[in-house]
Amino acid sequence: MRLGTYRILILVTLAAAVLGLVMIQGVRGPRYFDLSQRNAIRLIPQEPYRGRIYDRAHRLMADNVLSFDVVIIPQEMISSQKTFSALAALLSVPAEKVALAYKKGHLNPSTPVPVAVGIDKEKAIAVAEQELDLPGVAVRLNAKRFYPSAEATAHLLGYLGEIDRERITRLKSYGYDLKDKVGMSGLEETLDIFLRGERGGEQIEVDSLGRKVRLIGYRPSSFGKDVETTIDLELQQLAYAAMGQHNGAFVVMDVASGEVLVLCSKPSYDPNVFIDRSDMNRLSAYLTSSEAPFMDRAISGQFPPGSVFKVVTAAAALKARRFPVAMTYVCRGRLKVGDRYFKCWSEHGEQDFFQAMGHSCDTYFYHLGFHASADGMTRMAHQFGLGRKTGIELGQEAAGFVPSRVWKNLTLFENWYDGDTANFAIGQGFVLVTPLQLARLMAAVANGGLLPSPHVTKTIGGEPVVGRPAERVDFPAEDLTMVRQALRYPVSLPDGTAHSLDIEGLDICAKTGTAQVGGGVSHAWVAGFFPADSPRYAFCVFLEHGESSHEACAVARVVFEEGQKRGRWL
Amino acid sequence: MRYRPQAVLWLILVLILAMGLLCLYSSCHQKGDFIRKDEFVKQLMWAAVGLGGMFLMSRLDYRRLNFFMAPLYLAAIASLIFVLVSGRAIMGAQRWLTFGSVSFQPSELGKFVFILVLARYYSSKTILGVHADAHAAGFLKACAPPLGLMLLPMLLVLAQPDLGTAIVYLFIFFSCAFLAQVRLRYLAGLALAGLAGFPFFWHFLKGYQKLRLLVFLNPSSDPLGAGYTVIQSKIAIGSGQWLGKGFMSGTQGQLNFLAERHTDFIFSTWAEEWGLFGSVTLVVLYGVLIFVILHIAETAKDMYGRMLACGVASVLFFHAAVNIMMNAGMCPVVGLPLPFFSYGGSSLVFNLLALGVVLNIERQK
Repeated sequence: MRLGTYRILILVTLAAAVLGLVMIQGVRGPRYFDLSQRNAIRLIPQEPYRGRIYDRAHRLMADNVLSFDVVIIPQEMISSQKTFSALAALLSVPAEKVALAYKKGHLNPSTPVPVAVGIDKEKAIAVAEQELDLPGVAVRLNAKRFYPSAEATAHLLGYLGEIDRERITRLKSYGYDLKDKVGMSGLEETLDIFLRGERGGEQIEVDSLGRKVRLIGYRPSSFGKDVETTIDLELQQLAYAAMGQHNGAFVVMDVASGEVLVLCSKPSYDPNVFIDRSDMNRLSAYLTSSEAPFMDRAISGQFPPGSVFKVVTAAAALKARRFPVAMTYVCRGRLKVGDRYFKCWSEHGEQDFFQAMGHSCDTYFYHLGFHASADGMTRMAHQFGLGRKTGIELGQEAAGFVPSRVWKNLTLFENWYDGDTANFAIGQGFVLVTPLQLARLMAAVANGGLLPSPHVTKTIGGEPVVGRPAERVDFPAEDLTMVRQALRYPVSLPDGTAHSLDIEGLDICAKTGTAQVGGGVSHAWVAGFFPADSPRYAFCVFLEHGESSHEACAVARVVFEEGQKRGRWL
Repeated sequence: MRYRPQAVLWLILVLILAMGLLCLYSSCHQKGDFIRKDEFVKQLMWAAVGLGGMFLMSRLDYRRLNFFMAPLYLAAIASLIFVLVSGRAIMGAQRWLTFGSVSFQPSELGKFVFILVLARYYSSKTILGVHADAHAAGFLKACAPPLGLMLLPMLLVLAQPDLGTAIVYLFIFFSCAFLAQVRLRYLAGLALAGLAGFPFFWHFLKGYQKLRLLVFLNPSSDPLGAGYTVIQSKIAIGSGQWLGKGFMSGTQGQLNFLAERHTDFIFSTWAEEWGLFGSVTLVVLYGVLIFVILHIAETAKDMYGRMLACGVASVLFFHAAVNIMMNAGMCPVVGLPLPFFSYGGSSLVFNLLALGVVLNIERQK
């Protein structure tokens, strides 16, 4: 009978457990009791060395520098008040601040609590000299994160912070623990698992005076992996500087691979402030600013594209095969749609496809919009990656929005009118895009219809990162060539809207946009690619309330010219 | 007085539950502050819900469970897949399904559904021949289908990654197959094949799981994580000595040296505060509970009831034994809760429901 055997198995196992308990609690009990009374087992953690982040030319974007920290080991401290006031005098800060940091950081009696982080070397030496008179106080040498280009790469890289409750529940089984420093946004967050390395440390037994008696275990901390990005730091800094007082975003992308060379957003913040936490004024200024400095406008900002959307309108009309390119319309400064007049921003007279693109004639594109139909433009916008995330490896990416007739029926309970089609055709009304999406759209136009997957990571720990493959846009190649040729006109025509980008040797193709926003100052756009014949780079410049697309072109021109001088456009 | 398994089972259960709540109450305190009051109240609530469910199950004919078996199995698989996928999406492990403010662990449901499936299979006459004799059946009939039914949820649980629960599935399978008289050489063959495949399987383990196994072999290899917990847990248990430090007086637990002192490592708090006297009492209570359930299995009126009760006994035994031994540093830390003792609603409720089924088997004898 097997039940009998099974019972014996259970009995034997439980008996073994009881025997084990007798050994631990009975026979060796006094020794364990002694250990528990002295709190004799200590953990001395050893922080890992976080991987560094480089740009494509191996220039440092995120580094580690030495930092002197003052810690207190709770169970060795004799008088807390005395210790706090002595430390306060040495560090020249109020004693309450030390007491508060101690209270906040206290985990358990044996874990050191940092009370001052990143202090000067002189102060560190002063504290270290007093260590013998201040039981429990120690100066530790730690690595501190440092971002050399500060504001220019803030959104891209993110910053480090202490792990929060939500992250710890999510990441616990990956070895994350309380009080860990983790990436809070940008690449620091996405690639945290590669960058962080593994914490090491030693477990020791101490005597009643806190001196080490015996090493129980030791594990060295391991290095995190270095990350090489596709960013060109020089261009990134140029772009950030060129935007000057404007808020907005600047994106440059390789049209073939989707490697992002420039990804910056303004207003920005200095991530080093989050590492130090010493400059509380700046910190709170960032947190309370009405301009949302933490928002990465390049990937999370959603704005109406204005006339840049005419590229999609043109493609949709060509696809509908309802008009010959040589066909002309006469612009009288306005067009009657239904019982309403839709204005053009100027009176252009007779325009063909290329001229209309060059002058950004609204009247012409109202007509093209009707050729294409709203459904055609919706489909084409989706084809070119609008209305969905690009999948770049940074958090909080926005999807933008592409309207459709069905959407309007279902959510606004209204029919889609011809006026909606006219607005749609010039990128006004409901459609919203991110600057990254427009740069990606231009890349697809430039490279012959492959929608690349934008990414910023090149290698992790020396291993190349394989991105997702590009998507094929369902659009005839010869029609795309037509669009590509038309996009040269805004730059090459003397009265073209992007003529200020006519830089010798770069052969830029571009489309401008000035998007009206309800009430406020218009947004300024320019997006395109270069060189015209064999395109290498796609770009998008966005200025929030930049007033006119000329402003955007001016910013772009500074970066392209300076980049050309320095030989960055190879 | 006549021996009545139901009464004994109730008595033991109430004793273990009371001890568990007492111990949880203590381990929810730190330096005299009731820092985890919410969790204690929640556990009380779940105990009430579970006892209610247990009473209902004891009135429900256990053969009716057959009817719910297939949908429950599918639901368990679906929810396991769901937690896996939703966990992937947020780049982290996920073992929970959340409905509003209530979350539950599908793997807990999975264990008991798997017992239902095994009991149904090994008691079925059409599959194993007229005499329901697994001993006479070949490997394909006796082992292959239940093995397949086990591997599906087990691999999903393993991918979570939850090594402990995956091993529970294995133990349930071997226990039930063994008690259903499946030929020993099949089981031995399977066990050998599993051992031979271990080096291959090793590669699928997460870094921290490998670490835990290695830490068991040599605790000083991980001085920070599992090794530290085990050493602190051993100090806590050992320092309880013969009679313990007394209720609410365990310094190790109270001073927050133990990371998971109200879940997987609650036994160490119990042993610290009540000493060898308390810890052995608890082991004996679990032993008696399991033997009562096995007795009910032996006297059940049909094979289905017999297999069900055996399955429940095997789950409770495995959890209790592994948890206590891992607390005492006698086996690797695999993260299994102590039945009716550890904090955690899913585990408590499902364990109580399973006891309800066992009571019904006894009632229908």
